[in-house]
Amino acid sequence: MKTLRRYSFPYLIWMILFVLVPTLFLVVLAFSDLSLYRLSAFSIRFDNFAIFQESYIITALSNSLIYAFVVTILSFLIGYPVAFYLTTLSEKTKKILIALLILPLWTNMLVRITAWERIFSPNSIFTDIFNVSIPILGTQAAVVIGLLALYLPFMVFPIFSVLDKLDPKMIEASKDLGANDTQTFIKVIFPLSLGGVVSGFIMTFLPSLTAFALPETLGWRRVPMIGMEIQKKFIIEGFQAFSINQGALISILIMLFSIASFILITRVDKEGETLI
Amino acid sequence: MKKFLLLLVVVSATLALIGCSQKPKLYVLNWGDYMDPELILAFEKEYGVSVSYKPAGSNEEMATLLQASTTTYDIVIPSDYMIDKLVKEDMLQPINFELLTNFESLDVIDRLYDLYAATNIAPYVVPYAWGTIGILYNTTNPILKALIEQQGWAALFEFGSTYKVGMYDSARDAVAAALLYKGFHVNSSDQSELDQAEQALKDANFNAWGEDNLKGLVISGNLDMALVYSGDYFSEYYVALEDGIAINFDFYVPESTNVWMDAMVIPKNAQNVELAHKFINFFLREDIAIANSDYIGYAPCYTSVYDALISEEYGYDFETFNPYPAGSVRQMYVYGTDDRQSKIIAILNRAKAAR
Repeated sequence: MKTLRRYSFPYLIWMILFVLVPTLFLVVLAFSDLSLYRLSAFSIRFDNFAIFQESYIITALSNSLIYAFVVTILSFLIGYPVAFYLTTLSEKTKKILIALLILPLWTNMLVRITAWERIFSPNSIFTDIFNVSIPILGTQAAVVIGLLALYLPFMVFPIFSVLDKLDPKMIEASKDLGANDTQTFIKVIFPLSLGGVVSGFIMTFLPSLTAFALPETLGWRRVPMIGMEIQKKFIIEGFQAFSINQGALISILIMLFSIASFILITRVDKEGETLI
Repeated sequence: MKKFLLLLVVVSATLALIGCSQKPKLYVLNWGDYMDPELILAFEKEYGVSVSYKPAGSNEEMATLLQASTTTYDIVIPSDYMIDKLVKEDMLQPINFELLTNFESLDVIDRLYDLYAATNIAPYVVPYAWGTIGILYNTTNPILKALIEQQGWAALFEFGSTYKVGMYDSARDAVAAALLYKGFHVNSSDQSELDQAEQALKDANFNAWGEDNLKGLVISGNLDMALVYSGDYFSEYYVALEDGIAINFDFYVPESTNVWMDAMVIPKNAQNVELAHKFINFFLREDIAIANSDYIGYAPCYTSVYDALISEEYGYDFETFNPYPAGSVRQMYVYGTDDRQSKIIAILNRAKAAR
């Protein structure tokens, strides 16, 4: 095993150069007046925090949190029964259905977003075939449906992988001891699948929280989300003094969410088996 | 371990060598699809050089890329106000007009020249194309044409509850449209005028904020009308003409509006200043300028080139092609102060958050 270690060396360098160093840069930028494109001496500065008093940042942050939460709950309500249903099927059907869930994920995300944009247009493929249209572009509903479609599989997979490995003897035992189906589910199956549920929650919540391409396309930028604001701080307003620093500070706040989630995952799922 | 490091060094050195070639290289930073690639090829052939063309999506992106200077560009084609800002930041060098032999035989259109000569960018720019901002609308609903022609800017700001209206998601353009609607100058930094503009943007209740996607939304019927650049309209108009698609959209330019001008500039840190001048000079050669303007389809900045394009041979004599017809009012952006810039960004952010 030791000889293998050196082959991880390039990856280590890669991670240091493109993950660790940029993250350190973000931290320094967030708490200083450093100008990213004109590196020079800098001083520590906490004025960047004023950005959190701006109403549009508060709106975007709360939007992101609310939508991510709604999307996660909906994914759970839809995803859990789907995952449960999958485990009851024969191996062959199971494989086909799982493939159907995975296949769309191999399509580029932007293509899938554009597809939803077409579906939500007044003149869509549905207008041609069924003579109905769902012109909801630029609304919260479009954003939520889009996010849900995009991240639902990430709720289904971890729950499915836990349920699928569940020892059928546990269920038999529960029934032997006189529990009916509902009791078995509530007292045995669900608690044992909690690890998958937590993974699923995090894997739908985090990407929904940081989405930026989707709200831009489906929400017509009327539904501001924090990912869009961060992008704007870096690219559109990058030329403004301290704009990048403020963007860095918001990114770090989001990063804290990710780190907290990761810690939570490692607590409930020590082997990381629900992470695909 | 040592062997591995050696391998790494050898591989990276080889890669670095592959990147080198003998030809001098000219780095151009421009808008996407905004220069005839065949003419760039012709230039490469004629001068035995290679041109690297980097497209950018906005003036702000260009400025950010210039400032980042991970690549040093030799030619950039930003717009008026950003050139103004770049001059103030001391990031551009004056054009050496003596090297531009073709410039002498061309005449910058008087009205355009008067507009930009009034700012301080003149020594740094070679005009490239110009146009206006206006209202693109879907003609499927016959009422719209009359409404927009009668209401002008008010059509965008007062009919948000009846029609679906899109607004450009750029502080400068959105605030300018609101200022024009209220009858003020696009560069106004008067607080009460800016406040009125902000209120107008908030009250308008736009259905969509976008950029160059707005034109597609209007044409597909997702929106009834939107603020767009004349170039947005032209490009769709030409595509429709070429493909023989029925044209279901039109462009209205209110009587007083903004005129934008894109111009070629040379950054201060350009590596190949002489070649940059040759490049500019090449694109000023009358036949090249005509061919290039025909490719991009925007109004050319030079009288003889403009006359050629509106001649029967090229047929660009449609109504809105001239950015500055006699009797109209046209205002050109200047960057203004950093304070004003922060203010208009804040106005747009607040306007978008208020719903």
